[in-house]
Amino acid sequence: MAVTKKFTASLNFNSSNIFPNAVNLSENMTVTVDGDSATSGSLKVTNSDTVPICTTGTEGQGLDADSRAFILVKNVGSNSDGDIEIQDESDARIAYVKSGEWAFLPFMHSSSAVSSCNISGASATAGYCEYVVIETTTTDY
Amino acid sequence: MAKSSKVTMSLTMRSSDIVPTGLERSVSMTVTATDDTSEFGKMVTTTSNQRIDKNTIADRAYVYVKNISSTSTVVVYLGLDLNSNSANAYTAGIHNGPRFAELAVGEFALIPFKDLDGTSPTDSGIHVKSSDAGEIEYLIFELD
Repeated sequence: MAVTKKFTASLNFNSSNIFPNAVNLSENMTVTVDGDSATSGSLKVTNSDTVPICTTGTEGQGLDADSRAFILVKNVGSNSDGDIEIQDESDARIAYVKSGEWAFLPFMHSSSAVSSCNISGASATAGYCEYVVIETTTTDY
Repeated sequence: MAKSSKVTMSLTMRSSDIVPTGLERSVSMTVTATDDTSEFGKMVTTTSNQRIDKNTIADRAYVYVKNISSTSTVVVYLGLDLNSNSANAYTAGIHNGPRFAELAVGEFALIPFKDLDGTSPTDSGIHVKSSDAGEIEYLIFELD
């Protein structure tokens, strides 16, 4: 039986001069997640690879999510390694992550039978990333 | 002339008991942005497509979007079939591109965006729509 847990994400921006006014933005959110539906790992990928890290439906790869999921992907390669793409179920790019960069997004699952979030390389040069996937149940504010 | 600026972003994910050993993950990065292609503000959302960026993103950008609606879910996606010279391109009927994120009330996303230059269609933009009338707060800055 799934046990629900609380998960908190905090995001901070800081820049003294990017806009006419300084940006110092701090956000927090807490959601209720399904405690038995979380995973993390690391990958080496090129543009020949498409690795699901979160799927619904029948694909059976990555985290089998029944609902929405929060995804963090960080490119842990060096500057000479390949860039990382995060893709949706149609293998269309959602986010593009260079060395040292990361993305944080709540991934939705579609109403269709199968929905997935995939990791791929942006080129033939191998890229390296770490990821965390956390499935949500109901939100709590 | 564009003036570059440093932007530092940090994210902490925390849960005492998710996954067998708990979760505590902190990441941070500093990027160089151009201040002439940065946008910050709020936008009322509807069930129809609306473009956030003003078509100034030439290559890569960071997109922060927070759903500040009272009840509506907001979907952020890549809008395709845009004509960079047509202000009403989306009213003429773009199709939905890849979905970046689905935001429940109070949720946010930070997405590294890359324009689809060189592909067909040749332009792309960041769009939102909501399950009902809603509102977002957004921050977009293009990388140097």
